[in-house]
Amino acid sequence: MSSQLARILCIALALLASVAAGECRTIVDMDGRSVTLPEKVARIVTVGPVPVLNGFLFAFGRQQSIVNGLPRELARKYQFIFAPDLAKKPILQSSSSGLAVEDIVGLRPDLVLTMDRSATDRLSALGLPAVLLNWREPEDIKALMTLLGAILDEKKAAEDYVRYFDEALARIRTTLGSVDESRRPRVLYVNYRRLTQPHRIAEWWIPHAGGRSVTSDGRSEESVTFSLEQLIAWNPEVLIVADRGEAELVAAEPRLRDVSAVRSGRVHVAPAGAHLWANRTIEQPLTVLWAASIIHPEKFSGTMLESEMSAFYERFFHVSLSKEQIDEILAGSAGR
Amino acid sequence: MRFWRAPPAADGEGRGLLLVSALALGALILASLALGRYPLSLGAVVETLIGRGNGSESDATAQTIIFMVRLPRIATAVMVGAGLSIAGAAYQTVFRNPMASPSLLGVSAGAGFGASLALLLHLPTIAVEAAAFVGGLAAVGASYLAASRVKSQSLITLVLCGMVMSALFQALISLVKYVADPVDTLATITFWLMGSLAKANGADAATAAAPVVLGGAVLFALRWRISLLALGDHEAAALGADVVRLRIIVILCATAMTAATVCVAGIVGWVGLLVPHIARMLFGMEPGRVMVATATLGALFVLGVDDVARSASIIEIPLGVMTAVIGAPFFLFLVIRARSEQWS
Repeated sequence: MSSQLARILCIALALLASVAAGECRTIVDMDGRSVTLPEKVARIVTVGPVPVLNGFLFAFGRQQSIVNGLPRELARKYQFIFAPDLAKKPILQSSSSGLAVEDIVGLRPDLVLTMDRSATDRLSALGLPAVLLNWREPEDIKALMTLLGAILDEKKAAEDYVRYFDEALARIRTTLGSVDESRRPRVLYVNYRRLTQPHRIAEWWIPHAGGRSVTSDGRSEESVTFSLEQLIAWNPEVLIVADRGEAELVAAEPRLRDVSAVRSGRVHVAPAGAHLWANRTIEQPLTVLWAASIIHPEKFSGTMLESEMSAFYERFFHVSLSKEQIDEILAGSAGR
Repeated sequence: MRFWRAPPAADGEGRGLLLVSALALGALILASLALGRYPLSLGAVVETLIGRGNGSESDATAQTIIFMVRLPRIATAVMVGAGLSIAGAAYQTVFRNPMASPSLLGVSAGAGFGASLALLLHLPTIAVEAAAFVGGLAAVGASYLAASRVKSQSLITLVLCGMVMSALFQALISLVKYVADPVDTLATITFWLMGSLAKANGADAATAAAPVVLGGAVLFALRWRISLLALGDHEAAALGADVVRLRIIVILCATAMTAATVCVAGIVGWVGLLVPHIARMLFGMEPGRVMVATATLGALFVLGVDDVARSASIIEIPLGVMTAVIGAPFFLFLVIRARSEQWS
């Protein structure tokens, strides 16, 4: 018994010594795998949903640590505004040719961030320090940021974000007050070209903003595709589309002219900052506030939203935005 | 050659059966008008159809639903079903091959390639349709040429060559997608190729209807001469048919019909293979009757499947997926029932 205790002590001491020497440490990622990382993480590769992962790093002000560029099909203007150097970095993936694993190895990253298991397995097998970040349920973002804070040695910043997340939602809840189920407008978030509600997270931010999502059916799938007739049958009072091009398509569609949101001019384009706000993004507290401002404009003013945005990007991304830039983010993606 | 053992359907009996299927199609079209995710009672549907609304707001929505959403979609489904089935039957006759069909000959993939290329170059809609037609024609021509170079009597040869062409054109589609601008054109091409009737409007219905009705009319007018082709080139020529010209006309018509369906519904498989066989089994070989029957059954099949796709649940199930899930096992069942000696 005592010899066992002594052995554990020895190992513990050895571990401590190695940490003290600045060699490496082991963390457990969100999929339960142990990953050995260097003490100081300076070179980070983001794989998969690159803008989403980059957003997490922006929130620690770690734009400079990202060593890969943005795949063309995922590139959005504000990624380059928040991290101008991204334009000069090598692109490591594309929808047609997949992952350039040799290039990733060649970059000698201290950390590779992914959001899916197969990519993580593949990169780990090559000896890369791949860490899987899981964001299934809406509030997983808090655990995710806490883990990332531990990895980047930015625990305070992580705590700050988690606190902000809870406080921002609490503030919105207070301003909103109790909204009767019957007084919640019917809201539809749609990728209009595909007639798809693409992300389950909208079933979370719509009710938090005082709306009632018409696609909310307790499903476990990410997306749901429906017919135009179903859209008309739902008759949403607020319609949120993916980009500005889609808003034009909706306005020009004669079959949608009787839909409440179209008739009353309540068709909105989801804002696009570091990532599309309507999807999973570090900017999610802003998503809820923005949605509240369009669903209950009598309770949430535009200026309130703008000052919150300005404060958010300053506090977490360390970037101060002009009024024009804030308007541009709110106007949403230009579309395809 | 024989496709299937024709049932000894007496003339009167065949006509009666045809009447029944035409009535069934009419009934299904009416029923489809009352089906859908927007709640409309049968009474409201009838009132809207005969134009006796009360002018209220819900009445305006009912009009939009019936005339602008359901009717165009039903018309498109009918045209896609009839078009693919007639085209399949025409290919089967002209190639004297029971396994010929728009998908197996590579026509659908060829049309898909032509259209994606036109989309890549930002050409207008009419050019997209023309490109689909040219692509489909190139695919069927190449399949036929390749098969005729292979000195084999086996029916499988043409099908194999068609599959090779299909694979080639699928690869070319991938190439188009590879070079397409990912933010702009790629998305358009991908959504378009997936194919769906979810947004079918009046323009889609017209796009499908023009070639299907015109091509169908030409094929119907030529039905007796076309049926001679089934006897073989020498026999047909001996009976006075201009075999080469006839064959070209049939292929042009069938390909135009296929290209039109690809333009509005994407690549929908199995209809053109399955329906002509069922029509021949039920209606025998009399050319006029079997052609009308093929069109009617094709329309019934696709319309029925699309009704399920759009009204069974909130989720819209892709049409091509459903026709394959029903068509593939059913076709296998037919093949097994028909015994293998007819397939040498």
